[in-house]
Amino acid sequence: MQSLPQRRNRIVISLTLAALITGVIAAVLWAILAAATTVSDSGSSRIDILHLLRMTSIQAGLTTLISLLVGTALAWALNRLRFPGRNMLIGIFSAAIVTPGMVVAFGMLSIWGRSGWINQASLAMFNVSIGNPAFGLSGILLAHVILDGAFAARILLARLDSIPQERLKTGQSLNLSPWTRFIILDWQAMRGTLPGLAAIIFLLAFTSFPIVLLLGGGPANQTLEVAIYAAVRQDFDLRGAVLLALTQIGVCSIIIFSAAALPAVPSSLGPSSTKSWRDRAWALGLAWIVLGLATLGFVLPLASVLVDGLAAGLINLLSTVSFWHASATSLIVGSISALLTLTFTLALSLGRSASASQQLRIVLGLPAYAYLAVPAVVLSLGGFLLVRSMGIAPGAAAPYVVVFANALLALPFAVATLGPPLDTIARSRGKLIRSLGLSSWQQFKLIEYPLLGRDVGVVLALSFCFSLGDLGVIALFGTQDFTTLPLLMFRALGAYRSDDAAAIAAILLIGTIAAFEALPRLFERLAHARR
Amino acid sequence: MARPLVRPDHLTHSPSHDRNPKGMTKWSSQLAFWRLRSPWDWLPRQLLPRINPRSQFILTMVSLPNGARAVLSNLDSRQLAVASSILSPLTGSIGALRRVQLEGDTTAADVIVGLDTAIAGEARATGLFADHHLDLSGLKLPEPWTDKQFVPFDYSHFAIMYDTDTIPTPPKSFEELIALPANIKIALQDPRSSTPGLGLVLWIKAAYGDRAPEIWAGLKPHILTMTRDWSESYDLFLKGEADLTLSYTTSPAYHIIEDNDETIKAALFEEGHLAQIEVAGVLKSSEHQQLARDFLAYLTSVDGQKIIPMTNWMFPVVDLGADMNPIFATLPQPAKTLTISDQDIAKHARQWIDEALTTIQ
Amino acid sequence: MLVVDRLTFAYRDQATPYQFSFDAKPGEITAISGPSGSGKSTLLDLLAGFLSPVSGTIATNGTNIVRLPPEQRPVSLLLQTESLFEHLTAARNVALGLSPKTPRTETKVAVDAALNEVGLSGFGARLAAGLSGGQKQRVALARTLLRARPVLLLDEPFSALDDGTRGQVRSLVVRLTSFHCWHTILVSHHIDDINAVAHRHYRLDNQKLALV
Repeated sequence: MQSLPQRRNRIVISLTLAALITGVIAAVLWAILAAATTVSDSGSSRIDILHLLRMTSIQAGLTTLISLLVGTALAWALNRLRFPGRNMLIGIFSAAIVTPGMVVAFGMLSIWGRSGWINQASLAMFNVSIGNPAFGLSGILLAHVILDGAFAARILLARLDSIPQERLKTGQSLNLSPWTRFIILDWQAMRGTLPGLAAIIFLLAFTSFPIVLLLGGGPANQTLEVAIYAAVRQDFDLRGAVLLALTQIGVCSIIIFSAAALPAVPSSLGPSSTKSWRDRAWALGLAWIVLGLATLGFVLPLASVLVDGLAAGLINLLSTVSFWHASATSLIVGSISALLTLTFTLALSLGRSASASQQLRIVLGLPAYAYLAVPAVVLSLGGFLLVRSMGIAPGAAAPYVVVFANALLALPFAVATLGPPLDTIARSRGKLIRSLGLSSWQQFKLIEYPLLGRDVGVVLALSFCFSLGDLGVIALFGTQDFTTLPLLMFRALGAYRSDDAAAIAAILLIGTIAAFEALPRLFERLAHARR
Repeated sequence: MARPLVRPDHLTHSPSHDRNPKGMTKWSSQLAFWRLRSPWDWLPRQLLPRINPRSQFILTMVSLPNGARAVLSNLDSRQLAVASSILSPLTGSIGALRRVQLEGDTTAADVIVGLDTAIAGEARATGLFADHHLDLSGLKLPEPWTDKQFVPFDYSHFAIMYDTDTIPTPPKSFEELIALPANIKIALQDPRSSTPGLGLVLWIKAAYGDRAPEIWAGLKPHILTMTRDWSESYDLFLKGEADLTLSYTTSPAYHIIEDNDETIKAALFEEGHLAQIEVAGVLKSSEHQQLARDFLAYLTSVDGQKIIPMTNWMFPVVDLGADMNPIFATLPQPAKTLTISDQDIAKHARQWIDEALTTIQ
Repeated sequence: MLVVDRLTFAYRDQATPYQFSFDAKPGEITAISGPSGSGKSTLLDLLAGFLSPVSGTIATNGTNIVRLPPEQRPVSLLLQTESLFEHLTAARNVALGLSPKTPRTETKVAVDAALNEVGLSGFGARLAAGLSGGQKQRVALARTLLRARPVLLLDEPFSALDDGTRGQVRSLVVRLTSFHCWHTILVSHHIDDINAVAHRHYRLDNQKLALV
């Protein structure tokens, strides 16, 4: 079929970019391998890869399972209930994907720690202590489920909201019980999304860095990612780090390749439509309980960050010069990485949507996932060794490496946002575009950009927020002269200034949520203003 | 004039700002890196009124607590001014060593402050450190100082801290400690990144030898977390997240002097305690060898040492006489000091850390 | 004259290939009917250039166009739905019929004239999404006017319209075809539409066309 517009340039550009990204990653891996063979072995490696792999898999598996359960329940409740502020609440849950792990980890302690709100309330009311679930495996799982459960709920809710009205009317006329409806309507709508969603959540948990670093409780609970960091920064065991990095790349690649065969998870979603379904009272009651618990579970840690941060340390923090420098650095790094992510995403997705060959589409789809296989700490370590082997001071190369790595960080989600709609346009409007003989630029300016303005904003917001909350890359590269807000927060925690850390966490939280909510709207408006 | 990315906070802040509300800060652990460089290209002139025109360099601190500020003013009066900033005090002082190893000759650091005698052997073996060429015969230490690369600047005994409000009868040995109910939690430091963390591994080994894994297995249910750095775990202890933490026999002095709080105490163990001597060293790659040595000389001088007890809350390495706060003399000290030879540490430290970590995994 | 001669095409796994032969005269509407799945869309895609035939020719006024890519064929296309970009205004949609290098004033004059010819003067600033079904098809016809291609392919253009509008759009197509001497090919399974407008009528059955 030749109904796709012929866009040779787009394909060439995206192939070039794919080759470039592959090249950079290959160079980084080469640098790691080279370092591993030249650096003298500083004693026996104490890394037990099988143990780490087992612990990480158990943690990621549990996270995935619980997140999907919580996500399904929350999506079901949100789908059934209509109330003022529903859209705002959905917006808050949507922001889970960009909420920095550090912020959640910080909020966890205020809520779930021994002197946290829940234990204090439990002690006051029942004189029973819940112990300290904020640390160790329970802490990691809680923090992950807060983020990934909300993410899963948002994706699954979109599936539920897209059940055709006619099917619902038929179901209502048959007087289906809530359980039967869930099985024959809701479950059918969600089922297709679950494997892909599970793969993403598993990968996120498998490569989790700041949450595990802050709440893991030390060597007992680590991810491979944290173990790599520890091997480099605590043991100077580069050989061990390389082994871990290769293991991580292997495992993640297997998951990505098996997930690539599954349908893509749409991550950009429009507003939910209104639905008419009269539920039984007990089902409505259950929905309210689920919604209430989920909202408390998600909002409380974040609220505590705001309360702690804005109350205590804010004024002091605002008067420090290092804070303003870190803020400026964060803003600049975030903006440039966001633009870079958008450029990468457009180049890759436009090329992919213009190619008819299945093989070409797979080749152009892979760079997007490079980052999940070669995550922050590995890329950062490789970049570090690469610039060092070239005789450049890591400090001098830091801004470039951090911006590039941050741009790759959001790429899988950005491509999942822009790729499918661009494909849809190319396929559904291809005949018309081609028969009118529109140029590539006309196609982009008149058709693709105006239709995708909001998604462009979503991509920018995702990338900006990911970069704003990144710790994995900056942790190895940051210096006193090149510090972002998460790094400043991390230092404040390590330097015994938890008031400063709380204030930075609050600012990060406000910044990410504001950017995530505002940028898509802004770009939707800009795109519409042009027509 | 080019504007600096990092401006000297101590010159722009009101003095009250850096007063940490929780007060105590063990600054050597944050001050892992010092970078010395010329100020002229990046310091606005109007910020330099107090600088003696004969100064070659100016000491600049970024986000440092009271103690370091005190060091600064003293340095000014001595007309030795040193420009410095801290590079990534991120992963404890051992982490700072790792960073220098990673960066090799490209590192911007000149001096590392806050290693201890236990890690000094490994640090020396990297070949990254230059000889200090200082005469340290005047120091008052348990044994005469012979190290050619590292300069000691304070010492104390490791100890488990507790609060008399929550633990009225403290454990008197590791065996009593591990016999406490499981809901009593302790915040420890990672032996791979923090010198107290490493110190605990050595301490238990020195006290129990082959029985050390038993002690670690007994500690396992009590361990709330292992932090990268001393300050993080001490913070958890003060916040009430943990009942116990690993610190020093001198730590209670801070709470008595600053907060008039006598409830926070160091538990004395019958099997004896291990001492830590903190050291600093100059990197061979530094372009400011003389300046760096001058700084170390100052750090070990009576003037410099006067600042240590009340800021780092450790014993000084010189006899301060009347300048020493009398509270320190009232602190209970262990009856028995354990030692472990440098050779044994060099040979077995890694294996002992593995043993401890494997047991608690 | 548009002459399609033994235009042969088969999908993979298809036993008997399609073989199309027919001709269409300028100023006339040539209708092609047939049941669903008989191959009407395949024929349209072959004529528009979205499919490449195994053999055979398509000739307009003696020139074989079978090797030309879709955008270079002397062909305009009007689909059942989605013939417009709904997020653009009517005028912008019509202007897509012109080369992008056309000066702005010239474009405006041409667009206004075309909209006027299909009876929609004054609708230029409206968003396509806000137009009725009949108005959309008329805007698409206005775009065809500017493209000035001798062959117009219509794919069920009236089926989404109600009865009143249907009549109006049908007579507009007849009028434009004869006035501009288009070779209009109408693919439809509505026998009413065919009877009302077609000069000639082929029926597609068993992979072949037969004159009715």
